[in-house]
Amino acid sequence: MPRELITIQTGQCGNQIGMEFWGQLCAEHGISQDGILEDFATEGGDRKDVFFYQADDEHYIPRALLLDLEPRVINNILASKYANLYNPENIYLSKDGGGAGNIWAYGFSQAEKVCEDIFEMIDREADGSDSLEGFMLLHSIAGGTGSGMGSFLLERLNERYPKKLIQTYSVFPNNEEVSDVVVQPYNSILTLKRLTENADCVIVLDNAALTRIASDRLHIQNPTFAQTNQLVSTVMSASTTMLRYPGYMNNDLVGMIASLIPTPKCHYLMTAYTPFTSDQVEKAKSVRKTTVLDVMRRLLQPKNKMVSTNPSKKSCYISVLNIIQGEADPTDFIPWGPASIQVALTKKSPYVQTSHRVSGLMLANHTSITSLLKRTCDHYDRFRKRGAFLEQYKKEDMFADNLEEFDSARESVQNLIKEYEACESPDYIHYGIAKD
Amino acid sequence: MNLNITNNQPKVPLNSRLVGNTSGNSVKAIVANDTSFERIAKTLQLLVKYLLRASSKPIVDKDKRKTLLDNEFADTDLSTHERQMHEYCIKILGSRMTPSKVNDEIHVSELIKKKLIRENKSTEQALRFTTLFAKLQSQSMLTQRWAILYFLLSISDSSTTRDTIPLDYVFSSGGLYEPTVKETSEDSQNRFMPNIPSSSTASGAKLKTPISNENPPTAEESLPPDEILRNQSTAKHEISEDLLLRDIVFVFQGIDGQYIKFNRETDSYNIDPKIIVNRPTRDLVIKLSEMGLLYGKVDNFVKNKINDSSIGLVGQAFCSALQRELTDYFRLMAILETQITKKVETGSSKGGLSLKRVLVWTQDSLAKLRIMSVLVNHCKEHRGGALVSIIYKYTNHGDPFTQKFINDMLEEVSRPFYEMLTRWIYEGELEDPFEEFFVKCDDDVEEEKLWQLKYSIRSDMQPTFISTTLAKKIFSIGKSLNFIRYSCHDSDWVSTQNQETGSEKLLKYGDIIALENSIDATYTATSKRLLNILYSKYKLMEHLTALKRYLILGQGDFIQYLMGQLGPGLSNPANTLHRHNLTGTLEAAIRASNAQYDDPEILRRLDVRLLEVSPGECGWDVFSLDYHVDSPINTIFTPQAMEEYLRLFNFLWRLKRVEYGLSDAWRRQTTSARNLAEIEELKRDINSSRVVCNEMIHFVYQLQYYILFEVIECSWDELVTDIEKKSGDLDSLIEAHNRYLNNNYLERVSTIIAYILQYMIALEELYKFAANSDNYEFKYKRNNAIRVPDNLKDTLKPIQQKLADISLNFKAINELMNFLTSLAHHHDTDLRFLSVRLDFNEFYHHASEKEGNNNKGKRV
Repeated sequence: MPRELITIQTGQCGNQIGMEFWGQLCAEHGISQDGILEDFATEGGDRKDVFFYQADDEHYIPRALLLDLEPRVINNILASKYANLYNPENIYLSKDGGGAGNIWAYGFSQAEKVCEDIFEMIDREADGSDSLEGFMLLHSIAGGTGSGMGSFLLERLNERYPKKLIQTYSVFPNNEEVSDVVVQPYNSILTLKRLTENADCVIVLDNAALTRIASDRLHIQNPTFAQTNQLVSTVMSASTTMLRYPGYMNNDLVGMIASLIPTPKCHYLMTAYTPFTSDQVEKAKSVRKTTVLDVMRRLLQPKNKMVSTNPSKKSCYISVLNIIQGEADPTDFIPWGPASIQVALTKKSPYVQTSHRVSGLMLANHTSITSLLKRTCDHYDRFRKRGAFLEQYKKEDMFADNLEEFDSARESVQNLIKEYEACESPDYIHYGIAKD
Repeated sequence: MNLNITNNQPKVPLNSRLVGNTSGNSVKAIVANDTSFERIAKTLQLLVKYLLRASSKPIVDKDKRKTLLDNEFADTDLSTHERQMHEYCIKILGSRMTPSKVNDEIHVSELIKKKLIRENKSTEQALRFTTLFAKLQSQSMLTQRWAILYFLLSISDSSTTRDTIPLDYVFSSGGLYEPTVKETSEDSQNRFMPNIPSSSTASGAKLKTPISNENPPTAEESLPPDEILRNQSTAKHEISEDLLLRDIVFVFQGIDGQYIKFNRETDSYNIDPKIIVNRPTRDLVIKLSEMGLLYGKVDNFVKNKINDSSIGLVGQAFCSALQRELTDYFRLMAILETQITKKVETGSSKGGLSLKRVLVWTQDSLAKLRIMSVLVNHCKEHRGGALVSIIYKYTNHGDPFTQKFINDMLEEVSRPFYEMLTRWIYEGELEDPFEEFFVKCDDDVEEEKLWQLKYSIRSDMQPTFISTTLAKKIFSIGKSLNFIRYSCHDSDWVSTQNQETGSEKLLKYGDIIALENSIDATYTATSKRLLNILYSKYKLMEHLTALKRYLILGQGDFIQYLMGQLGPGLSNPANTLHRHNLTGTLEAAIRASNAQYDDPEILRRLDVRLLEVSPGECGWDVFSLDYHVDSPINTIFTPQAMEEYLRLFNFLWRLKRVEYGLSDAWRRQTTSARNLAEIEELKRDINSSRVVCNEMIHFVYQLQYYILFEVIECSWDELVTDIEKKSGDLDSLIEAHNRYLNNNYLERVSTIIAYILQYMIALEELYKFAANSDNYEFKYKRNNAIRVPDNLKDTLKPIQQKLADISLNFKAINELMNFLTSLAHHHDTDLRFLSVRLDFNEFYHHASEKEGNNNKGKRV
């Protein structure tokens, strides 16, 4: 009963962080680049079958689907040292290879077209699992493929596997900087709707925050995607340690997120990780002694959060899952139910040497996520008012007649913001009922 | 040797008796020659005359009479001879001659007659006596004829047949021992011989006058008695010192002397009251006779006990030590005796030996005897280690002599004890036929329980110079050796160890520090060896880890699999469960999880256990994992400890079950949330159920976290630290292990589990509701219906009601709040932390305050 998770990585960003993620997992489990278990890693103690399955020849193969509409990133992967790791049957590349052109609608409609091919792959993977726990989607919400195709998959997975959990690692764009993807507010708002309505747990990875961490904490100015992606993969591997190294508690995904997400809708989790050192990103120097208390304290520091939010005075934690203990102001928590910092202790991979003794990952459900959402909405609203760049979307069936989908997405996100804000008040218990 | 001397003892008095006789010969001769029949007759006549006179004179009282008599004495002009004769008679009369015969004058006269016939071989004198007697009888004035006759008979008797001593005695006891103190003679009589009848004094006084009046005997006749008296009064002194010396030597050996005899009633030696001894000598003798008393006591003890096996080895050693001392004592006696003999032979009064000297010479012996007798007194009832303890108690004596003596004795007495000790700590053998050692072995105990039950400390047998800590170490060493030998089957080590250390170290009393060092070294070596065997050969650490992984749910994937596979089946009634099915699942769970990498030796021990089924129970109530332990590791994993493990497993298993149930519920809620259209009627219930569910999840997770990490992991860490120190013995390991287990549950869990069970019931209800509501939701989702059809509203109502009740029960007011309150005020700080953990954002605190306010408001 390994409670398997099937990873679906879509788009340029999704595949890039996916590649880093798998590299990290292989290192932690002592699996070679070819999927062969290293000699030093035979003694067990970990659980590889959540993320890998074993082929007939004992190779460990990731339960991963690599999907993209353009071949560049996937070809990179196939040219890398991990080329032999993946199951070639699980790689989908669009035949025309033109990509989604950063248009959500295109990605969505392309996905619809190749739906059968993709679901054949998913079904095969699902059949190969004993007790499928759910799916992990890696994507960005700004681009075309990750957002569009990702959104489509979320909707379909919902229908096809109504009882399975869907967790996403969603990279949010850096709103502060001028992006090469001008339409990212559109893409974001449309994806957010699906994330809100069709996913069970969204781990928010904020590019703005990642860049900030890279420069502030690691002293790298203008970090490359590869560097920030390493940060992401570190967080991802850390957040899955509990699944991969079984202990007393939190041995499956539900166990992990059940306490984090009290009500289904408020499922946007932010993360913080400390310490990032040279192991994850070169040039970063480890200059301190890590203790549990120290790590715990740092996790709660805003500058270590991988989401750039502007907490208001009313903002509060809905829940926190920490792998370490520390002090937090109890008034920072929701007023309508019991909440506290949950701490989970997990093992560390014996095969990866790190310069720090203790590291910590925080998964927090915090109402200040609304500021991020609001920012996205603001950008969207500005674009929408001007009606800019809508042509590309109108080309697709979904938007051919009208732009209702935009409005619906906007409303969905607005509802989410409202619910999060409601969470800040003790009356949340009766949320949504008074309307009668 | 000892025995010989004791056997020879009777000879000594015989010798001394002969000596006594020779010394008295001269007196006897004088008396015998002098007392002729004529003298008796004459004296009788005198007496008769005197008595006739005296009786005619009225006597007022004693004092008057005395002066009267004295006056008469002064008036009458008596020759010195007559006067002496008179005194002689007075002495006789004043003596303590208590008539023991029947007061019959005829009988006495017959005795006299027979005597005269016997002595003179003719009836002539007897006939003459008969005539005289007839005359006497005819004298009606004489009232005490029998007394007179008896008196005369006694005189004649003593002078002829008896040896001198009674005569001497008779005279000396007359209170006239010192002629110079004549005036006080009566007083001294009374003082020394309180038994004298006053009548004899009276009669003695009466005798005086006639003697002075009547014709005194001739000078030639009266000289011998004079000499007798003189000789007696001077020789008595000298002789009695020698005699007393002789007697004292007997007394020293616990034998009655001639004059000094043992009085049972007063339990002391008394000088024969019939002889006169001056006070200093008397005191000296009494002082010396103490030795005899003490000797008698000690000797008696030794004789009684030495062949009595019940006193045990230590007791025997004690007896032998005493015997050795007594031999020394006899040596002294022999020397004394030689001295005395020498003195008598040379006859010189300056021979050197006197009572005083004896007293000085015997001081050491006396002291030893005193100590011995004290020891004997106190040790009578004790045996073995207790006896050693008692003797040891006397080593704290300020007198170096006593201290040394006791120490020497203790060394000897404790030898058997130390032999036992040596055997015990170097070989683990308990050679204690008389149960004297402070370690007790119960042979009935089976090997399985060797460590716990087979041996025990007999604290009353623990010598006081061995401290309790040391005793525990000693106890532990031997026990460890036995454990290594019998339970761990490693006798080679024990014997080699024994050869290495045992032979070179012979323990004995005296050097406590050396003993402690040696015991410490052995203790460390033995304990280390034992623990090493347990760790290496018997994989103790692996077992501990296994128990933690499987019974305390440390191996998450294994437990997850087990829960997943067994879960549905366990909801069925308990009697439908089949062991082999469960075992199969267990096997599968091992294979499917990381448990497969564990040592097969350990996995073999993992088993399924079904507790006793009582009616109405379901699988959850009876299922349990079990872990088999055998000898010797079951010494650490005692049945009690295993029971603790099982209790812990059951508790955690239930908690796990709750957690999985909640996870399922959450999954259902979450996944359905994204699929279902909102149903107006259910909206409220779904929302509140989510909130309640969140509370429950929070509660269970925090509780689990608390138990698993803050309690178990911390205790585990302590245990591992304890083990790694590798100091101490198996006992301390067992203790550490018990602490590890006890730390976990004790009262904490019992309090919590009660709440958990109530909580479980609430949860079961919630499942039902959730399942039902799911049905509704699914039913209407596809139709996009937003309203629950009217016909279903009735079924919904009770569910809603129930849900509200349960959530209310779980929440706040009834259970959780009480629980938190009790936790918050618990004396255990850790539990208070749990309370903080459960109510981190003070949600419940505010809620209860609110509740309190509401109630207040209502009341007002």
